[in-house]
Amino acid sequence: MEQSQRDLGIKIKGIFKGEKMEIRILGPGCPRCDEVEKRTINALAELNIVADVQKITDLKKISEYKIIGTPGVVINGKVKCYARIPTQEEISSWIREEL
Amino acid sequence: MKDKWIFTLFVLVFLVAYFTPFDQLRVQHGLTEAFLLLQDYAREHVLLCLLPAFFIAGAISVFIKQGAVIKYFGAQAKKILSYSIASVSGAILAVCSCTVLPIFAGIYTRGAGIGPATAFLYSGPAINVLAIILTAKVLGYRLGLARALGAVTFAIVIGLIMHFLFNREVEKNRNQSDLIEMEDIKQTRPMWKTILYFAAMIGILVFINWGKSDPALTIWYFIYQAKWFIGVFFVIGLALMIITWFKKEELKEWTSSTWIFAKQIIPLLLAGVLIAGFLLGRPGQEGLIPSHWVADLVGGNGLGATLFASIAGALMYFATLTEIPILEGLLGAGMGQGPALALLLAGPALSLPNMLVIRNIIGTKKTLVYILLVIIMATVSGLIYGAIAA
Repeated sequence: MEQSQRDLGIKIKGIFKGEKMEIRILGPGCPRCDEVEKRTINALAELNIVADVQKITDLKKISEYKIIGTPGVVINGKVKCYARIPTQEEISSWIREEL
Repeated sequence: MKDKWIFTLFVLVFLVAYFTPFDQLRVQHGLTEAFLLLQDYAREHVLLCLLPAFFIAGAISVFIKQGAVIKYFGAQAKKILSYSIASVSGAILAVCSCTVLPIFAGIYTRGAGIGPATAFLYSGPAINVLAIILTAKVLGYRLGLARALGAVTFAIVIGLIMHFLFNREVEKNRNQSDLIEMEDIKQTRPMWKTILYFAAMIGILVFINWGKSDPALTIWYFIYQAKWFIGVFFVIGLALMIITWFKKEELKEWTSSTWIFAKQIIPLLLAGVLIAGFLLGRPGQEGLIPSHWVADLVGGNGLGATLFASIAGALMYFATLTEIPILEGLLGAGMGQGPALALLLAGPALSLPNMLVIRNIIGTKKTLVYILLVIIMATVSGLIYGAIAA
């Protein structure tokens, strides 16, 4: 994984524990979930952190996270919020928590 | 959008441009009707009704704690409570149609089970705030009220039937796991302030849209004449509340969530109005489809017409709110009130694409039973309403 990052020329600042942060955005694919994705990516860019961000649209997989309602934000396997659109500041603070 | 889809779109537009007989009078008339209906919506419904409705929807998703509602869908929640909340909570939780299926999947797999899940699935799309407001405004408050009441009542009936048919088998397979607790959002203002804030917004919406009535009904007529004063009174009240009670970030969240809804729904509604106008024309006018076809198929309040409307509604896909202009066109072309309600109930609750998603979650057998129940219940409500309206 480190190899590929070097190849892409991405410099990683901040604390990096050797594993990339894993962010999952849960939602069936509507503008509300897109908004959450946009805010997450903006938060990451502002904090200058590399993370593996993926959107999960399959409803069966979404319900495995033990939530009711979307959009949801999961960072490193921990559900941070669901059924609402969090602010970018909130997302930033969750990302910092998980560093 | 993927290039594949853009290409498909190009091909479709090309085929339409190539083959549509634009020189035919009927087609030209349909096109004129499409834009006249669009103008009708722009003049009658957008500023006074849709705009405030979007702000209310945005406020619901920002200021009402959905977690408080969602906890009643947990596996441990009392069954009676789960059913009642499932059948009415669509008003708060289902502001956009894309939230219905994830909540349904969640209630079914992690929460209260198949009964409340199907109750929510049936009523949610029909009683979301935007749908209720626009149905009442465009199609009349009677049909709006019948839609809300029919959806809530029959949601419970469908939920209970599904529960008794399938509960045993479901309980076995379902992993009764706890839901992740919603995080505690800090209560930023007392409840009464939130209630007043919503009351002011609803007040604006209701009074500036107050319909003209017979001068003999003194109070109603008086309200109609004073509607702008009452409306402005509420607007001033709302403005004062916004200035004194709300933080700047909250207002930003509110406008941004309103904008997300508008961005999502308005393009679809625009397309829906144009298509409805083109095919069916404004009320009293004829579009591409001759009115007597509509009257033959779904005219009157008979069993055949109502059943046909339910089945057609169950199969057809309606994007959020587009069922309303289409129904306006159908009613104008001679559709009966009973079939109209049947279509309103079966339409947004089911469509071919969402049948496939539901099947993916609850399996083929349950999906078929659910579809059958929706068609039966929509037909029954249509027949009852048709008999009352006639």
